[in-house]
Amino acid sequence: MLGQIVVSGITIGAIYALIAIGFTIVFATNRVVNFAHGEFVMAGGMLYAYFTGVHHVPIAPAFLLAAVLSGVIAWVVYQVGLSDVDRDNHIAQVMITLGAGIALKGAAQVWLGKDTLFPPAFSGPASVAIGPLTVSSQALWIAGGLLVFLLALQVLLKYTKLGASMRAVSLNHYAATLMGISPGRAAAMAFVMAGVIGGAAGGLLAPLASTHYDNGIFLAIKGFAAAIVGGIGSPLGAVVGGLVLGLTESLAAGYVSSVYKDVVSLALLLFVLILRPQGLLGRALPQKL
Amino acid sequence: MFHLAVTTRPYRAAAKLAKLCAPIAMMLAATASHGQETIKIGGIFALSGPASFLGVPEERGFRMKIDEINKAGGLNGKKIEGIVYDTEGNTTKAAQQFRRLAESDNVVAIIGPSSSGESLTVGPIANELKVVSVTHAGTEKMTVPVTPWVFNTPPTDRVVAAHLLGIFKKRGITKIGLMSAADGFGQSGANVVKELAPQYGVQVSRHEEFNRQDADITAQVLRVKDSDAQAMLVWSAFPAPTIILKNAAAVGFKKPIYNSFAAASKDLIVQGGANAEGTYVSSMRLLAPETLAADDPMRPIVTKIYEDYKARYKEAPATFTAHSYDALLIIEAAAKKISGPITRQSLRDAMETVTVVGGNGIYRLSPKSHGPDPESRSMVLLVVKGGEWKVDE
Repeated sequence: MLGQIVVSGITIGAIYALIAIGFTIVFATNRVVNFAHGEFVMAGGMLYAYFTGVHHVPIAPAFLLAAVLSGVIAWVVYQVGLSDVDRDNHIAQVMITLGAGIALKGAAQVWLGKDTLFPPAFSGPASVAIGPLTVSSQALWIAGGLLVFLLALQVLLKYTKLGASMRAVSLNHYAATLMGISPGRAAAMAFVMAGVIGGAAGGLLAPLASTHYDNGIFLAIKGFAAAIVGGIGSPLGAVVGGLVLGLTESLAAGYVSSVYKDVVSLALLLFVLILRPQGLLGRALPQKL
Repeated sequence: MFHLAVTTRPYRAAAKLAKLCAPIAMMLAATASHGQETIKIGGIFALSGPASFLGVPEERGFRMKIDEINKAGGLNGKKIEGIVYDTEGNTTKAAQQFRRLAESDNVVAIIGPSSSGESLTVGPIANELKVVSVTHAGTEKMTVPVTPWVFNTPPTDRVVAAHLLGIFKKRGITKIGLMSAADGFGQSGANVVKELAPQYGVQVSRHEEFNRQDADITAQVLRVKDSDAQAMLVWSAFPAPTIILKNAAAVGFKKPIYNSFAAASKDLIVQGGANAEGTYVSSMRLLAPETLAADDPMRPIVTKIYEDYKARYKEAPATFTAHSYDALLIIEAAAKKISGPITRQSLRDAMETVTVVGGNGIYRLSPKSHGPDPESRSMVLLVVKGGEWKVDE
């Protein structure tokens, strides 16, 4: 039983991690918590279900298209809503992302429908046996997806000019501007990446757990909690946070009480915030005197 | 129906508008006075918004039955005029529209609203305005205790729980694992099951909760799997019932899985695929009319609703269609007992004396009962066989 519970905790934790990465990179470059992020995840799942279900697009192109379109949606949200807003006006930014989220949800309801959809899984057998454990094949795709995105993100941030400029903006946006980096461009790219990774998370999750125009906010809350636990601003922290949250939920439901599983995982969030306000892998911001 | 709300500030614009609209208003007034001989019945349904999966089939059942009654000559010779408003599932709107129907549209009866929350709000208004109200709530609070003007057509969770526990008793299942959603619907259902279980000699040996939108419910399934429960009972709206089926298949859960009426839909089969095979659900009859027993007293009416709906709307009806259809069946039966004019008072009094066989079961209405009861035979056990719902009782 323990093994099986751990497997399901890692699966769901990997999804939380993918969602948390989106929160983290947008926060790092933009200093804004993007409340529309859950809707990018929802859009990925709904679009994947739409392409496979309505247009009978094969699985791989449908998934890629859904992820890319989610990225485009994120880019539009940034360009239309956030690009002209004063960087330090946090309240306005938060309200704009909230509004964009509601608009996206409404658009999905009108254009993609109100049904709960289970699009096809990525590969044939529903589950595979690994020793005494049964693992759903979609869970393996999810774990693989997390690894691929994490590696790609690390390479991009470490070894490309775009990544360097994004890191520079996240460290000190003013100094970066003086060095000739466009903070707007870095911020827009962060939104696109968050959209693509979030959309991919939605597409990966949908065959296991269904997709619905209304489930974005639910996923966003979990992803945001994971980002905070791991330390917002750190992609690796997002992954650690997601896995910790997923495992805690699963173990709490299996061994403590399913009634209190959310209480246990949110208590963990509080506990982490009290002991390490910057999150498990977060860097404490230097205090200015 | 035309209402002009004239406010003071855009006075000139309003005056202009009133001038423009005057001929239309006169025409409307003319048709209204011409149609003086109709009986007005209001309907408030959630035609859009998250509860529209209830409201849309209900509104269709409402229209279908009104057209049928009018074709047959109306209620005691008077045609019915149906007036429908969309509540959007919004409690405030439902209350406003209910008042509007009662006070300005002057209807004798109001059918709907679609959800429990809205229904609980309009119940007191119905008693205050003394207008017949037939709500579509899943909570027994609508008719327990009985209030003079409020009737309710859907079976309540108590009716469904009693049905399922009766099945367990008959099949020798004495220990169950209860899985309920951590929301109003799941908690209310779980409480009723726990309360009634001892009467049927059934023990809830495990109770697990989950969020309706949880992506994975494996841990809870494993807890029931490792317990001494002989069957699992799931009390939740979608998508959780499907996810439980998938998780159960993945961990080799072999015990039978029973579902509340919230999962009584074609969706469980479409979404669950092969995993849904062999799953049970307590459902209203409209989901599988062709597999009902030949001597089932509800079979003729259920088949009629099913076929009329299919002919008119080109798709199979959701079970909720019967909520509004039955409401009109009750009104139709009550009207036959009224010798004088049909008023709110005479209709209400007559409704308390009728016994009606409807799509949701047998209503034995009386001053003590304003809705289906556990003896109404509202529910029927269905099982998925070969990708279809089949009656299994």
